[in-house]
Amino acid sequence: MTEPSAARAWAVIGLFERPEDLLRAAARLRGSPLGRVQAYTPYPVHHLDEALGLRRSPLGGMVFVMGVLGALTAFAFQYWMSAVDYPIVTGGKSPRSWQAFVPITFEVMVLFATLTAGLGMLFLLNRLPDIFHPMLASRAMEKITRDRFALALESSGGQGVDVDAAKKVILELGAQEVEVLPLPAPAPAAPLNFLLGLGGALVAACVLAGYSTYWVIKLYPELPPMSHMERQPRLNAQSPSGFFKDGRGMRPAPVGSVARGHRPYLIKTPEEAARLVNPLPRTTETMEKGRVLYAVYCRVCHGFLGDGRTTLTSAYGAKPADLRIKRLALAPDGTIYHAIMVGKNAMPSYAYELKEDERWAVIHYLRALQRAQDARESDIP
Amino acid sequence: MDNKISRRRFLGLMGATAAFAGACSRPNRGKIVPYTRRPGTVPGAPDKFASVFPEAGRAHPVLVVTREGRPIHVEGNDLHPDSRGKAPLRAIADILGLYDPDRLRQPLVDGRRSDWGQALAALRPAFDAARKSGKPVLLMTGATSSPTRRALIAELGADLPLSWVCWEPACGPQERLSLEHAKVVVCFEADILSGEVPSWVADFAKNRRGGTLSRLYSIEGGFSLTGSKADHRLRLKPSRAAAAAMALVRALSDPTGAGLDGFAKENGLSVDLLRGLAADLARHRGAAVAVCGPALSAEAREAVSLLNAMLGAQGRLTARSPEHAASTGLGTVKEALEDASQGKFSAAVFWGVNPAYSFPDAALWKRALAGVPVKARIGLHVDETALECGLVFAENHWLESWGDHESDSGFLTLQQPAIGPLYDTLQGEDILLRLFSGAPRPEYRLYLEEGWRKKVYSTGGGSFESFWTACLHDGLLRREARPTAAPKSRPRSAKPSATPDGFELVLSPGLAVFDGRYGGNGWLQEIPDPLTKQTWGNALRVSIADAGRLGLRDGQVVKVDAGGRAVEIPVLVSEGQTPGVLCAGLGYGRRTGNVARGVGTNLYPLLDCDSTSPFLLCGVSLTPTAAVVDLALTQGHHRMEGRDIARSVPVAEAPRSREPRNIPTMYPAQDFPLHKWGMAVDLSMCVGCSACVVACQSENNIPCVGPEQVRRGREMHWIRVDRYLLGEGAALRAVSQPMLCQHCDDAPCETVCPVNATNHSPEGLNQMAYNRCVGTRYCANNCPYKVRRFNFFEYTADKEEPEILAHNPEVTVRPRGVMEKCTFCVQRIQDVKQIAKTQGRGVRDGEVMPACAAACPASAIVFGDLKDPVSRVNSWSDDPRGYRVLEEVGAKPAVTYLAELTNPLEGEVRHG
Amino acid sequence: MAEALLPEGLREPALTDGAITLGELDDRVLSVPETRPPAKWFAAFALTSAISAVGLACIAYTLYTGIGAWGNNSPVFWAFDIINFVFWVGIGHAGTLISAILFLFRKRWRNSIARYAEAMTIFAVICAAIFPLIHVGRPWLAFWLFPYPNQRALWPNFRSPLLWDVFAVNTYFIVSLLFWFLGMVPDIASMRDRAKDPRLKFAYTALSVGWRGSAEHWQHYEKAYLLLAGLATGLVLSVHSVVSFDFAVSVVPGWHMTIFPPYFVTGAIFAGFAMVMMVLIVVRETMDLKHLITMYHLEVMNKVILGTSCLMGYAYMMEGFTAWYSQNQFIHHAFKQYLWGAYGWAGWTVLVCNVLIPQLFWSSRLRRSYPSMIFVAAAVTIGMWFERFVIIVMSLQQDYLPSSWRLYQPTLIDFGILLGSFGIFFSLVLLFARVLPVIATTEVKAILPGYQPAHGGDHDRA
Repeated sequence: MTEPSAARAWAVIGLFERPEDLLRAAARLRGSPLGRVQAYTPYPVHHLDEALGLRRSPLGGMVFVMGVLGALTAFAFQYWMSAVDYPIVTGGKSPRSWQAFVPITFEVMVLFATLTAGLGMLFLLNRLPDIFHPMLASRAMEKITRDRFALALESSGGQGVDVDAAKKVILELGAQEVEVLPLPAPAPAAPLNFLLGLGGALVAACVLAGYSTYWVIKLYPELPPMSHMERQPRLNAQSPSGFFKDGRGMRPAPVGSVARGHRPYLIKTPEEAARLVNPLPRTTETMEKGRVLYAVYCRVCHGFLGDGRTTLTSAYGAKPADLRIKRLALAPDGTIYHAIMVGKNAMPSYAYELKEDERWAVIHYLRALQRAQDARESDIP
Repeated sequence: MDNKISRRRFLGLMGATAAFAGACSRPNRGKIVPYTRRPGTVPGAPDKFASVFPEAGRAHPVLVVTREGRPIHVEGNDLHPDSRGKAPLRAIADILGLYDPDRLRQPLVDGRRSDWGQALAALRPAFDAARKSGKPVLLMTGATSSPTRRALIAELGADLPLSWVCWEPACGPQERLSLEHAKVVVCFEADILSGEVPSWVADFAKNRRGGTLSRLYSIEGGFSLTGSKADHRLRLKPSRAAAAAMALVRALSDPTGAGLDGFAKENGLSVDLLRGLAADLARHRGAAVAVCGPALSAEAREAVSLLNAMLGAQGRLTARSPEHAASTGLGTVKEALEDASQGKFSAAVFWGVNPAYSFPDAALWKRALAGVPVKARIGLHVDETALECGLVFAENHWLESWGDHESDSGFLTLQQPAIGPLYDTLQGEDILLRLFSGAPRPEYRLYLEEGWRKKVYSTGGGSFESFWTACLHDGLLRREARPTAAPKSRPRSAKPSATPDGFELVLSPGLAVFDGRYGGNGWLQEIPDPLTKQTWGNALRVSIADAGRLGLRDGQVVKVDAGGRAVEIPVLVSEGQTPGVLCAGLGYGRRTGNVARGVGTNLYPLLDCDSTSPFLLCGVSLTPTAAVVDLALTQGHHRMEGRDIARSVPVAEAPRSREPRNIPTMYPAQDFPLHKWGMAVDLSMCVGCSACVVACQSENNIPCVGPEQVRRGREMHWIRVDRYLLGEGAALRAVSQPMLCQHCDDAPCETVCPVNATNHSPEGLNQMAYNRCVGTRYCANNCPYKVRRFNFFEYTADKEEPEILAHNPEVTVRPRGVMEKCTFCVQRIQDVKQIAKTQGRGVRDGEVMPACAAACPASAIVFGDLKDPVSRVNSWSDDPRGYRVLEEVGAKPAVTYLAELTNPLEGEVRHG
Repeated sequence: MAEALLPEGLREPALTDGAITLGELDDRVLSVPETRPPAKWFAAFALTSAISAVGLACIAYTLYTGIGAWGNNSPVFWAFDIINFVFWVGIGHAGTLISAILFLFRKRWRNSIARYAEAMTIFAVICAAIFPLIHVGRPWLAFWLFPYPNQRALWPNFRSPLLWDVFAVNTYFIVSLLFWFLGMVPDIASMRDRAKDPRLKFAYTALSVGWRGSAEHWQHYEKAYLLLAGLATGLVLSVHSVVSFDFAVSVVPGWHMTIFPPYFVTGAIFAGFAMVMMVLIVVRETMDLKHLITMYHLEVMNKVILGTSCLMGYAYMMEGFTAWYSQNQFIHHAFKQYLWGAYGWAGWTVLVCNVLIPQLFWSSRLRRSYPSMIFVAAAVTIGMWFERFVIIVMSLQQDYLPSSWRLYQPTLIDFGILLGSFGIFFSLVLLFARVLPVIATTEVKAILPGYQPAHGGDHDRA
């Protein structure tokens, strides 16, 4: 029934004095073919939603779902962190002591639910923020937020509202004044510039954040008094020291002092050493010990069988002693001990590598090797 | 094709990278400085040197633990019968003395830094003058137990006219005891359990574990550790000790013991207790010993040795202290200084004594100084005496010195350095050797070796080298101890010398600072006195009755006047003190040293130079002043408030079987796969000497926080010795309870840490991840034992060398804001586990020794694996006397305490 | 129907003095931010910010030197730091209670004071949040309390009540902030429409996210508000319960009590109302809002104070009873020394200030006179601070082993920080009073007489 020639507007707003008038008008105008009926009030007016026939708000359902989700998330994470990912025993409690997770589960549930209720209402249901909504540009708005009650016919689907018809209807409903928001909606105050500015600000913020993060991470640990315990005021093994003149943290033992287990080796000649007797009993474990130590320190030169034939010989032409020869087989333990202590020919001293009993153990094993070379019937058990 | 430039570019890039790396490098990047010549020591593994801690004519055989050639810990020499692996408190703590930043670093001439050439050259003329003129040189030293040093000084005496005064300012005659077979011990004002001599404590403790207990009587005016441990305490004025001893002598001679009653009455003692004591002694002839305190008069000493003679203790349980240890009294020193003031000496050398501080008569000291043209000081610090001597010779610390000593039971014991001199210093003997006339002498090490080759070494065994190195290795000459001559006892009835009315004041060397020489040692200053729990200073201990009469309260400063000699000192009202008797420690109130200066009060000025028993002052008067100071005490409450914390039961009522305590719990049972470390402490053996505290401090890099922080209640000791008073009046006893982290299975502290910084190890250790700790302090609040310590300030991390050289490299140093606590010496546990692993065996029982257990002279602390069914800790934990402190809280502590056993006389004995 | 259960005084709704139109309301409330503050405001603000400066200086000193700057010692490892934390969190609770719980109870008198109360919640929680942060030994690592993925592969200990605190307090802050902001959106919208300066207008537009007050808006808005109120109510009860767990979950005698959660919540509301009371009186006088914040409001709040005070008395009694009935010597001792220990005077202060003095409010005359209100409110604030002192310090200083008992002595720094927190709080309050609508005008508009459609069901909102 609206002729296309007539003037069209984005919205036609009528202002009322009292909420009752608004309600009455809303009920009457409801479902009008002229456009979408919308009401604006300074505060929530009761029964307006019924008058306009709005659907119930779905917020409750959303909040419930998110709340449950929050609770589940919190509990699952706590359980995973404490019982699955890295269980740490504290206070003798079981890693799966779920009772302890209840408080945080509750808090997170509330957090999720609240954020849903608040932000969901604003952003999802009310489609805010929308600071360039045409309505905000209207003169009526400041009356509305103060003390007027507005009823508006708004263009749905962009083809506008028939101004005259709408005016007529709204005035009939007893609106004191009517405002027409022309179509197309008046362009908001340079939203493009605004958006550009916003974008620029965001980029700048990101760059700034990046730089500051970098520097903070780089310098943060160095700032006093923040200690991260990397500096330990003590002298570890092999560390330098500004205190001693030679700059070494490790000190030589004082001349002439004898530490426990470090009796100096006073014997000068093999002949002297010949007196020494092997203090260790010839037992299986001594033999075993000797075997291991021989393998570690001696075998590389003297060979598996003590025959002095090893890769060294082939590779470098070195000639380690053949330990099986008669002279050595007959030599007393002491002389061999002496050789281990002070070295022989090309062989260096092994006093540092082998402790006293270890040397004797090696000698036992060496004897076994020598016997093994020319074993007699009687040796076979 | 462009290989050559690519190489260039590569190098360039490398350079850039290096530069960048350098630019953003953190402090102390790991830099390695190895040994150039490989010594026997393995980096990272400790070495042990047998040596001797010489103190006031007594030789304590010790093992010095070194890391990469730096001493970090001191233990007792385990091979030596006189120490049996236990070192006294001050020996353990003197590691800090070695690295004391206050130490002299080179000789001084007229207060200016100098070198040895100049310094010695400055003294020689005086010595030459002495040789020409015959005017003697005064050499004042401390008492020494070293034969070779005495020989050296004698030799010097032959080289030039020398008058040698050997003086110990703080200690009277020393006893030589062996309590091993003593069933009854009577102490007259003698504190044998102070831990001064570990072997005494060890022997005593051995006789206090179940079976037939020995019985300890303490007849004393003050309240000593011995008194606190005694089965019967008799509160008696020290001046009456001689009379008491004589009364007992008479009682022993006539079985009726009628003489006792009179004595008991006139001294307010319980008759039947005294009779009981006499009877007990009579019963145990041959196994009973009486000990006379160092402060007592000569007649008391005579009386006690007479008593010992009658008890048959002479020679068996006691031995007359060797002549050398007996330092000449104050009288001799006074004469020497009189002579000095009259210019009878051409020079004076003070070595190891500090008369400017410890000689009572300051005026005489000044005159003496004026009378001597050349004065030299041989010492470690610029102390009071050094300030007044033109020549100051920087001396080696004992850990840098050689020597030989006669230990208590007469064993020849060798002292060897564990580290070369840190500074340009010489040991005292070397200085003397350089002052001889004629050809230059060898250094003291060779002199010593030479001496042994001549005197000690008996041919027959191996070569001298092997003999010598063996002695150095073991630390002593394994040879039968020379029997000490039993002194002839002159039976003489001690007539009680008329004592003027007024207080009697007993002065004793401070447990921590001794005669003052350790004043600069923070660890020692911060050790709470076992009974008063006072740190950082001394106080005059006053009985409650006297305090009430004079209206004194803790910390109130009083003027002490002893025959015109007066000092002002704060009082400490102490229960157990006999009314009319005052006690105080010497060695405080030093005037020099960054740490020692101004801590406590110097009481030497009270001493009477002419008295034969200078440490017992009679007729002392007190006048309160308005001033009140805040004493740094670590324990404010002395009673258990009826709580079941430290148990003490008479042996008769000792529990026969462990009463089961099953606390209901909702927690699952934990399983410990390999080990479950645990500890047991026998309160019956623990005497509270606090050696464990120092050992722990040295082992675990525990900072010392200073008096202000102690007053605020922020001391850091991981193990503390709680002291609770039991009984009333004369029957007052004290039980000492070492309190450390109990490593609870269901530890309350672990649950509440928001960042998991403290949690439970699979070996049952309650462990701290220091660097994870953010310092909410919740754990400490929730610890029922309050054994957690918080770094309220930066105590350690900003320290520098040489101080930090004392730190144990095995233990993390904790910075400010971090919670810390006992770890059961986890570093030692790990060491042992590694060793066991390399040897392919399990950990043996007793192999893991926490520092406290290792140091405990009584061996009252046992540590081990509770999963090992035959371990000692297991058997102790199941002991009928065993219990856990605050078990009802349900934390399942891993430390078991064994109730203290006391052995009072049977029957109803009123305490007197 | 909820009203019928309530005492006479609460039922009679004289919510504004005299008739007032919507426009007048706006003019009275919203004009405040548009005018230049008076000199006395500047004076007050200078004073409070000076005080906060002192506090911040003390905090800086603490951060640099360490917790040793405070009086804390062993065994009293927590003292002023946690006392102040609990105290301020408690203050906050009144705000949430007034805006949320009373909202659920349809108490319309809340509308004119809710905004203030909520603001105070925010500020109080800000003050409270300072303390857990600065009281840790290594504040620079405090972020370790949050469960964030890190290269150490470590998580916090979810069994520790402190961690529950972290979540509770943060949630509480976020929720309160949201609640506050949502309530303010329509008011900011009307400020937007009052604003002349385009830049200001734009700012308000952005702040009010373009609120239009359309029927849908209001519909969803009211639903959301109702839900938020419900959630906030649950939250406020949980938060102080969780705070009380810090103590109740531990083994310290005097802390380990099942009564703590309700006891703490009540105490929080009690203290909070006292604080709101003091601030309201000042605001009412200085910003001529007598017509909107009427004597009736104050009196109702006084009744709440009276009620909660009686509850506190009951709680104290129960503590004593538990101590006696449990036959546990440790708890017994703890409670004994609350009143007869070294700091017994603090215990008595608590009883007098929290239980005795509020009894004055039985007389309606005193309920309606400024001096008595201020006196009681001040007494309650002091009393509640000391209550936390008693609980925290006095329980700690004598716990299990007598050997470790030790007295606690605060330092000047402690007092400086306490003072500073008050300075910060009041600075924020003053700022708020000038730049934002101090009264929820839309909510008040909705309940002004005659401004709801005359027909149809009850006149309540929602």
